[in-house]
Amino acid sequence: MIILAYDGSLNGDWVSRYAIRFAAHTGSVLSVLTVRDGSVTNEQMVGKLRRLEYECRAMGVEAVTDILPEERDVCSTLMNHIPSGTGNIVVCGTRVRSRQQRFLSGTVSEKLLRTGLFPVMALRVVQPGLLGAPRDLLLPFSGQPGCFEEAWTFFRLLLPDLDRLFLLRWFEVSAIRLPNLSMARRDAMRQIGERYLAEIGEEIIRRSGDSMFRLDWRIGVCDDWVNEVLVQASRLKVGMVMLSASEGLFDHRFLHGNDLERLLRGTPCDVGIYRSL
Amino acid sequence: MSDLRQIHQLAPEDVFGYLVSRSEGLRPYEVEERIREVGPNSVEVRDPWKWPRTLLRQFTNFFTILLFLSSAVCFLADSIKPGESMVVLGWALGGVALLNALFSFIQEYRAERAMQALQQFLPQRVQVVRNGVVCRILSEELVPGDVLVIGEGDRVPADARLVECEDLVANNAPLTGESKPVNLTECSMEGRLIESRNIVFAGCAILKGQGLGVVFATGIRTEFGKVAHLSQAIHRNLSSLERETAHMVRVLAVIAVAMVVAFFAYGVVSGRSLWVNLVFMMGIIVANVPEGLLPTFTLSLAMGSLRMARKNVLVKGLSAVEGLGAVHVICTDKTGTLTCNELRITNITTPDGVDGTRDAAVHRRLLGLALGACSVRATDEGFSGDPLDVAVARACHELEMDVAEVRGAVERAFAFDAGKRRSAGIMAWGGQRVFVVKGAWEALRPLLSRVEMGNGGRSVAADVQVLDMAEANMRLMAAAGLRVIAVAWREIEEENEAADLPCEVLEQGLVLSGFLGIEDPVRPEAPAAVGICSEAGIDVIMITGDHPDTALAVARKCAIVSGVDDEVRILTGDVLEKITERDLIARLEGGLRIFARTTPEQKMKIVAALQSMDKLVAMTGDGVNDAPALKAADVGIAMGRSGTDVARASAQIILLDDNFASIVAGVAEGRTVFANIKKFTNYVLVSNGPEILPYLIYILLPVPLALTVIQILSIDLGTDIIPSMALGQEPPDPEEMRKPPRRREQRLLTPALICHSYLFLGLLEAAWSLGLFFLVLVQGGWHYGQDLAMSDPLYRSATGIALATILLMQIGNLIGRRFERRSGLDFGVLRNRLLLGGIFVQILFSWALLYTAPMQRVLGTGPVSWRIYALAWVGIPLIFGLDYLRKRLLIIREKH
Repeated sequence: MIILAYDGSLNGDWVSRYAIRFAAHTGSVLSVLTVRDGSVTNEQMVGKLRRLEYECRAMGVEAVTDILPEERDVCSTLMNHIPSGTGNIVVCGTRVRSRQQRFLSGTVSEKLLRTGLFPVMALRVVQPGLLGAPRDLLLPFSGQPGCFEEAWTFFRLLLPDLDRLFLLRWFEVSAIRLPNLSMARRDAMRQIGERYLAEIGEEIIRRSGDSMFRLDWRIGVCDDWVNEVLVQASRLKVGMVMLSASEGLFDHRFLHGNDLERLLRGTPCDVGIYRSL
Repeated sequence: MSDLRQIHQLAPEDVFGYLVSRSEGLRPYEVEERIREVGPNSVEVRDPWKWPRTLLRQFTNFFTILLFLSSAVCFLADSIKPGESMVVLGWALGGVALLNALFSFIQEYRAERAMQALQQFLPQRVQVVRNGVVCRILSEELVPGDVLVIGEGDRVPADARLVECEDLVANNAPLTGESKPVNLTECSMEGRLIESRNIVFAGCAILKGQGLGVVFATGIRTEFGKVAHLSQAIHRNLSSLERETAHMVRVLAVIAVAMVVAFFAYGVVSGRSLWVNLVFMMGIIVANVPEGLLPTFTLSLAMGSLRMARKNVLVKGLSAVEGLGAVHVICTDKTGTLTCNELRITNITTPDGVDGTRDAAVHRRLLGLALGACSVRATDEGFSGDPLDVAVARACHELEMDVAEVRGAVERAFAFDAGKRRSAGIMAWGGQRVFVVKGAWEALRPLLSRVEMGNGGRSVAADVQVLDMAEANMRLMAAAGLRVIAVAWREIEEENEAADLPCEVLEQGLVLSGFLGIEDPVRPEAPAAVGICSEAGIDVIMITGDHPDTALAVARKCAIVSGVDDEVRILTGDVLEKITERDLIARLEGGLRIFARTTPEQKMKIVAALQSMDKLVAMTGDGVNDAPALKAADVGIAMGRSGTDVARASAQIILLDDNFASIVAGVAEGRTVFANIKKFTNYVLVSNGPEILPYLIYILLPVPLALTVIQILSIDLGTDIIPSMALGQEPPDPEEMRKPPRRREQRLLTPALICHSYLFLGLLEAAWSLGLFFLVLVQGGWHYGQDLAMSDPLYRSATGIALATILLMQIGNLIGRRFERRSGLDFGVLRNRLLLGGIFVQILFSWALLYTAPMQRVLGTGPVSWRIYALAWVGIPLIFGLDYLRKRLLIIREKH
């Protein structure tokens, strides 16, 4: 089941397009959970849910909507109603807070991502014109083991609409070291990256069956992985960047700030931050 | 399941619903919410930390750190023992470090102008429908869902899906590079969003009509915004010189630090005073850091950039001077760079394949008829109008036909129709009224009823066989890289037929008269320039939006391809779009040299693939969409004449005459600059030897210090500067463009160069200068172990002759550095005035520091006898002679 944590906001409307498509692609029911927290009036919420149900019908998706009374807070209310385990995928949106500075920090989405009780994908939609169906996807990997297994849970949801898939393996070195990196060291990194992505590429093709998309990959040696991902997203003109959120990514870095926030703030395309069990 | 996928595939009436908007526009609270979610409609990436970070990075340079460190040591020394002028030295060293860092920062800051040029493509204010009212708002306030009102002359502020459209025509050149107008529609479309005609894209201009669109992407999420984002976010790769400098600085820093640590420890263990140890530490750092080298690099590059400017190569960033000389691949445009960017008719053929240029009657007849279907005006500067029409008029003029008379005979004109791909006119010709058409063969073929044979006196029925024959002849011309235009006509018999009938009726039953072969001729100097590149081991890759046949023909004429296996050397844009970067690398390794039918954005893919092959890439470009590729390339070259402001702002080099040959001239200059930098680096490092050795002896043995810190600085920041600049001015060696480009791993500072500078010439200078230093001391009554005050006249004379000897020996070193194997004593010495000036300065300075009171006071020196001074002069032939002997031995060894 695809569970959409819906807050009735504009971004929520845009995120719902993704959730509807995920449900359509997996042939599952879309469960829409809404917590009545007073941010949207009842009439507005009912109207929006009606529109959502209409779009679900147009896509042939069965939608089950629940308006939940707020318990302790929105997050705990949602957690009390979302079954744990790998069987369901929770889709939620990022919400801008404090004058464009933060999109994830301190939000319900961040808490859901960090619970580790169910697979979650938090989406920031900046291109509503894609209608939740990006054709070109960028999957960046930092090279940690098990990265792909986690990505697959969510990647398969986007697979049917995909035309081009780009994998990116980045190697981050310090700003002082980067200009002094020898060509031999760069080559060695590139080879490691090639091997890593070739394995993932093979696995994707094996699992994707007869899906028709083009697969390409790049290896980046950089001093700032967020900038590298953003540059590649613009360069390849992808519709979406899908990134795994390890615990370390929620940390704050001096001068650069939080990496995830920088990515969400500066993104030229939609971003999906995911975390599996 | 619905198969609707993206905004351009929706029916116009569904667009509002999917973007959560309505025809009467957004309400204020919705605008507020959206602006919060997606931010303002601005293509500028705001990063408040960008410039502080850039400034900070300038201070992480090893040289700067070392200079600051030695400055700190000076201040420390001054606090321990005031009155020794250490504080002045500290400020001087700190100042040099600060200036170096600030200079680099200012250069980087000034290079970031692309954003301003890009902003000009977006309007300040736009018209939108909000809350049922049409209002003007700031472009930045636009949000997804806004209903945009667009009309003729407008610039589009954001990507919008058209919902109403009345004769809308847009110019998408900023995005596609193609200036052809695009007819827009509000109907749903299939295919890719970027190619949809129901979308107006940010940055593009509306040429005609009016319409309504719903904004679906703003700021950097628009297609134009992505170009802008890349132009800002891509960090240019360090140039090879910057990389080499960083390496050299690292090596010298390691040498300095290792010496400081080792001998400082020795000094402490052997019971030397803290003052001696501090003086030693500071001296070793100052002696090891060639303080004048980085400013000399800059001066040399600046002079190189001036020389390049004289060759129509304007350099924006100094590192690009040398960067251009280091490139392995030049990716060049075709039109205007390899070719003249001027259409000319070079072939005229009758339908049956007779060469019309050999028959004056056929020639005049075909051109005259073609001119009847042209729209061209005569101006003071020649003909004006469509380039193809201008080419026809010019060809007529060259045949001494009266263009004005022919044009005057045209009574009705039908302008070029992009859909029909032809233009037409009605004119009087040879006593008849005729309807003439010129256009693409495919467009004319179905309209033909007869075909002229030979010189036009006889025509036959246009059956399939005859038409196929004509087409075969047309294809022969196209295969030679010509753009082929067919010319056809028909007689108008009735007096008022022309006035009444539409073009569609008039253009039936035409007689094919012949074909005009048009080309943009290759610049006369281009093949030779490509030949030079080939000799210099530089690959030339042509990237063009033209047809593969045209591209191949030009590439053959320019000798980019040789005619053998040409099919593996060409790739079209649609194939490039589909293949992976790894496949592209494989094809490039297999000899791929031409990219045809490519779009500017595909240039980025080509640059990335070449860089993955460890190639240094120079890339030319002129359009807005070329900006990211120009920034991503190692050397971005914008066209000065035809280039946009954005391209010029993104590039490091501007080609003033758009000529490929100028790039090659720039490469030669760049290589000369690097060769000269290598020469003066070698020259400067030689003096490090006699600067370091006195300090090592000073810490190891109970002897006076032969050279003070201020004296070292007088060499590094004084007398060595002009000779270094003189070596930087040495003329190009013709051999430079016969060598392959240097490998990325090839160093400026090699172990051989270090050995030659420090252990051979440096040691020689050190030995001779120290020999004279001790000779003066011993002659003056000094004995081993005796301490001498810095103000002692004997010490001042001894240290004076040590310094003077180094200066004079640098003359021998200077002449020897001009060539790797030749002596350096040729006629060129006298032609390089800076070199003569440098020699004069060394001589004058060596004399003045010994015999003039002001110099003695500043440098703490004293006079010596003329015999001793004469011995210092012996150092010149000594160092020059021994170095020449080394060169001869190397030549002999190389021969064997």
